[in-house]
Amino acid sequence: MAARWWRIYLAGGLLAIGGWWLLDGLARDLVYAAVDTSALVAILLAIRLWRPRPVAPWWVLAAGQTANVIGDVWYNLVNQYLLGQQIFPSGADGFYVGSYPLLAFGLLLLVRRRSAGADRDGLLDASMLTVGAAVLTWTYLMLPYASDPGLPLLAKVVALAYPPGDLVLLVVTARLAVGPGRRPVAFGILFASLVLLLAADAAYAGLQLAGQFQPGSPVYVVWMLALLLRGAAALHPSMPLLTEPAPRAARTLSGPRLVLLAGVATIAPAVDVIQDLRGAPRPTKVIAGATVVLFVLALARLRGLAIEVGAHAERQRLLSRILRATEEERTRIASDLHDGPIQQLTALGIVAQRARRRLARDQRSDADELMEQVHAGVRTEVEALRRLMTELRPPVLDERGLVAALRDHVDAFADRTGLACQAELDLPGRLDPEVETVLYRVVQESLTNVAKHACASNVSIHLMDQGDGVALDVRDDGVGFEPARASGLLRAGHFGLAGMRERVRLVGGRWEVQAVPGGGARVAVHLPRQVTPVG
Amino acid sequence: MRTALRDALEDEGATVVGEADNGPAGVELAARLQPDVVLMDLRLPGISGLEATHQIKQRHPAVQVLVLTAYDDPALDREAMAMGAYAFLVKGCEVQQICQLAGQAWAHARTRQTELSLETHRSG
Repeated sequence: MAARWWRIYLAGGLLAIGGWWLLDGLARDLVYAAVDTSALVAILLAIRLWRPRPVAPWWVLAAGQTANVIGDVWYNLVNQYLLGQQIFPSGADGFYVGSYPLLAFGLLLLVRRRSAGADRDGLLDASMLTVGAAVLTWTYLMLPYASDPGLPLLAKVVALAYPPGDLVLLVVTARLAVGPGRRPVAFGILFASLVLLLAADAAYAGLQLAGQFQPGSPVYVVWMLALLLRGAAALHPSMPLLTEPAPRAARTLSGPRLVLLAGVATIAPAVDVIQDLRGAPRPTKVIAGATVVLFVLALARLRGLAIEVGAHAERQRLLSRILRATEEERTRIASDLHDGPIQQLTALGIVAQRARRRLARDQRSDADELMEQVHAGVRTEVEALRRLMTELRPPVLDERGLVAALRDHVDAFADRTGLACQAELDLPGRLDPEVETVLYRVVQESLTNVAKHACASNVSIHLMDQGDGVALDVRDDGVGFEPARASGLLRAGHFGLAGMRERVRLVGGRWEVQAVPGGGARVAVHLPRQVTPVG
Repeated sequence: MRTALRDALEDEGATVVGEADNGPAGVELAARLQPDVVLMDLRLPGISGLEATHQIKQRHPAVQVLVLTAYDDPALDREAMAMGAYAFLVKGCEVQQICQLAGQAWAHARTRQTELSLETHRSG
C-alpha cells in the first residue's frame, strides 16, 4: 500500500493545483499553503516510511522545506490578510532566502553520498557551469538591483540575496545531474522538481525586473508543481536508493558534456558583446574574473584526464603482462602434466598390462609384484596431482574459508622458509568469495615477496573485521625498499605489487604499500565485505 | 616410463640396446648403435621428437622410428609420418600394440637394410 502513496499524493496535489486555478482570494492562498505544507509532511512521512541511510540529507531537506513553508505562510497569509499589505523586505524574505542554502545543502549531502566523495570531475564540471551561470545571474538579475539608486539599502541587500540562492541550487542540481549514481524513479522526480523550481524562479525574477509580475501568475502553478514533485520524490519507494554510493567510474569527458562545457566557456565573452551592443553596463571585472576561474578549472579537468590516460596505459601494460603470465602458467601446467602424471600413468598402465600377461601365464607372484608397483605408483601420482590442484586453487579456501586457508598457507610458509610468522586472523564468518580470494592472493603474493626480496626474520599477518569491511596488514622486518620504486617495478616487469593493487581495486578496496629502505615493508589492504563492481 | 617400456619390450623378446633422455642424445645414440627400431617421444629436451626423427631418418634410412607420444593429434601424426616415422602411437595404448608394431618395424628395418645393401652393391 505504502508503495502507492506517492501516486495518491501526486494525484491529490494535481487536483489541489486545479482547485487553486479555479479559486481566488483567501481560499486560493490556503490551497497554496496546503500544497507547500504537504511537501514537508511527505518528506517527514517518507523518512519514517523508507528509513533512508543516511537520513541526514532528508532532514536538511525537510528543514529547507520548513523555512519555505514559513516564508510562504508569512508572505501569502500574514502579510496579506493580517497586516493587509505586502511589504518588502519582510520576515518572509528571511525564510525564503534561508530555505535555498538548506535545500542546496541537503542535496549536496545526497550528491556526496552518491559519489562516495570521489567525483572530482563532476565537481569541476559543475563548478564551470556555475561560473557561467554566475556571470548571467550577476549581469541580468543582480546588476539591475545593485545599480538601482532608488532602492533602500536593506531592500537592495535582500533583493541581491535571492539570485545567489538560485545559483547555489543550480550548482547542486548540476552536480546531481552530472554526478554518478543510480537513477531510480525518485531521482527523475526530484530532478524534475528542481528544474521546475529554477525555471519558476527565473521567470519570477524576469517578470519582477520588467515590472510585470502579478499575484496569481501562472508562475505559482510551476512553483506548486515543483513542491508537489519534491514531496512525491520523497514518498516514492525508490527514495532510499538516492543515497546509495555509486560504483567508481572511469574518468571520461563525453561528447554532450564537452559541448555543454564549451558553451559555458562562451558565456562570459558573449555577455560582454551583448551588453556592448545593447549599450548596457559591461561587467568587465566579473567577466575577467570568470574567464580566469574557468581557465583554471579547465586546466584542473585536463590534469584529471591526463592522470586517467596515464593510469589507463599502466593498466594496459599490466593487462598484457597478466595475459602473458596466464599463458606462461598454462604452459607450465601443461608441461607439468605431460612430464609428470601422463608419463607416470602411462608407465603404470604398461606395468599393469605386464601383470595381466603374467597372470595369464599363471605367474602369480610376478603379477603380484607388478601390481604392488602399480599401487605404489598410483598413490604417488594422486599425491602429485593433489599438490598441483592445491597450487592452482587451495580447496580449503572454498571448503573452510579464508582464515583456515591463510593459517595453512602461513604455516607452510613458516616451515618452508624458517621465518618467524605471527598470524592474527580475527574474522568471524565468511566474506564474499571474491573478496576472500583477493585477500588470500594478497597474502600469498606478499609472503612470496618477503621470501624472495626482504631478507626478513619476522613476518606478521593481521586480518581484522571492521564492520563494513576487512583490513589486512602484512609486515616484515626486512631490508624494505624505496617506495618510489613500487610504480617503476611494473615497467621493469615485476607486476606482483601492481597486480595486487589491481586485484584490490577491482573489488572496490584500498591498497597501500609502505616501505623504508632498511626498515621493513608493510602491505595494508582494506576491502568491503561485499564486492563493489568498478564501472 | 622408459623402465616400464624396456621391461615390457624385453618381456616380448626384444633387446633394448640403449636409452636416451633428450633429443640430441637420442640422435647420437641411434647413429652409434644403428638399432632396428627407435621408440621416440615427441616432447623432448633439446630438440623435438619430430626433428630427431627427421635427423635419424636422413642419416640412417633403414632405422625405423616408432613415435610414442601423449599428444593425440592427427596433425602431429601426419607430420611425424612426413618426417619418416614408421608409425604414430598415443600413450595409453595397449603394450601389445606397441610390441606388435615394434616387431613389424623390426621386420621392415631388416628388409630395408637388405634393399639398401643391394643398392650399394649394385652402384659399387
